[in-house]
Amino acid sequence: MRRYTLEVAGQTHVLDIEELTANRFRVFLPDRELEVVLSDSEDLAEAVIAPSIAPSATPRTAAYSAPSADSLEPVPALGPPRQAPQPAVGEESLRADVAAPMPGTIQAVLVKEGDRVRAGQELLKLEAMKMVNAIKSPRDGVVAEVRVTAGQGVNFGDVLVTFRKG
Amino acid sequence: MGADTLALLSQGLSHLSPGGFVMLLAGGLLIFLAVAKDYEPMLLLPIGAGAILANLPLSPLVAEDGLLSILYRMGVGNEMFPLLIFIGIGAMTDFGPLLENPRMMLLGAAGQFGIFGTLILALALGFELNEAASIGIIGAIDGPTSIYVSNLLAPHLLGPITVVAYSYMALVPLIQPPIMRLLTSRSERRIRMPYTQRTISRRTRVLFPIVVTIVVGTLVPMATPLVGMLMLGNLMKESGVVERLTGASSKELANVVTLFLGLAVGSTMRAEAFLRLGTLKILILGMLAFALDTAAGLLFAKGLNALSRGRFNPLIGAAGISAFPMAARVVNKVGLEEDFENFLLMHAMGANTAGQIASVVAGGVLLALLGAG
Repeated sequence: MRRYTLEVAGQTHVLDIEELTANRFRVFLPDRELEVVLSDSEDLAEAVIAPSIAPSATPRTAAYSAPSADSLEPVPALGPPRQAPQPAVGEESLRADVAAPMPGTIQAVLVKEGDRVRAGQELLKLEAMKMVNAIKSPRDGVVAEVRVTAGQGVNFGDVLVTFRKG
Repeated sequence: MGADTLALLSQGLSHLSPGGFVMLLAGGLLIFLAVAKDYEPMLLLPIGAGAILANLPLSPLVAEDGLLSILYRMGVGNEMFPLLIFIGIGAMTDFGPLLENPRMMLLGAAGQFGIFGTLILALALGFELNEAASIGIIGAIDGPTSIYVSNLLAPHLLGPITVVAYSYMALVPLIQPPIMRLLTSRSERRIRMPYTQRTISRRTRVLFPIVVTIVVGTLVPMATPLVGMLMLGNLMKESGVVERLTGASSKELANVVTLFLGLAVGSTMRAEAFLRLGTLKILILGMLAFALDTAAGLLFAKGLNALSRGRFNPLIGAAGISAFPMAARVVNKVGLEEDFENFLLMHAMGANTAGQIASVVAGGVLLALLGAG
């Protein structure tokens, strides 16, 4: 496993990448895993290996295949269902959003749009398995959007809160 | 008024014994723990009440046809109550987190080490083998299993063992964290484990209880009653076609039986059986059983972590016991103390439900080893 520290738009991200086979890689993001399949017939520099990291509602592991004329069949990912690649979302990437760490029900929303929050500040209360969990902010910032309301059921990976600059 | 009349009217007072008085206090203590401290009130309150009612002088409740004696014969002496409770537990348990992550089953097995460790210690302390095995079963950290096994192997220890098992179960959030912090390093506790969501099909959920029952029942026939009832409840829940039965099992039946069971177990706390040095030893051994279980689970999970090259948070090992869902919550809490974004709850729930199955199997293994039937 290799660890990469990237800087994107002034923000530091740490990625752990495990080489499964020559063309299959498992990427560990802070909140989930992705399986990436590279097509060996294509020049690496051109290969699109930047899948959207916007958390999605359904799959835990999504296989991403680099587009190519004779691309290999994507190796089956760890869990069905699979998801088609989405365009990358530029600045609003990685830890800019707070996603649900597990399925559950939002019990309380403690912040609103425009609130300035500090890293570690409680944003929401998520009830899962009859236990109330505090969802805290991973960073300092301003809340751009709260996408859930109290009482709403959420799935793993659903975006709960987004941030903006300011 | 003659002296005879006076004696008849005051026979309650004259039969008050010091031992009985101590047991009234013990019953009062259990009720206090239930009411003031919220320690497993569903059980400790009826047990405490049963202990008081049984130890009042000349209590008719424990005479041959007394209510408590009837309850005991009805469902504790013949093992029916713990089994009925298991139907309710099965109807309330979601094995989803375990099915999503079947390797957690290993942790459930590791969490049963305390049973056998405690058994050996109890033997060393001079208990007979059947008594030692009954004390060891406290390490299953599972109330109904403890009652079931100890009643078969050493009925005279049923009272102390049940009380100790349930009291410590309430103390899981106090007993486990120090051991967890002692046996894991800070960086181990910070290992992130992304939630692995997998959709479990209805067919899998329905087949799971059936397959487990057949496999376990074939391998460990002594565990068939326990695992069979647990899985029956779960089958009803997952099938989704008998909601009324599921509801009745997990609510009305479980509640009524819990009341009966608590009273009957409390009535076994008679001074002559309870006020012995052995009870104190059971109290200490029970604590050791809990600690050993936790330690074994943690160490086993550390092994898994080494095998997975640092991607398995050893804290989850502490959830491989039957105390559900407290153990999983404790794991989640200790993990969050180190890293507020690291939610271990779902993984720990998987290990925790595995611990439930494993403790039932361990109870059956113990019975088989001792040739009980």
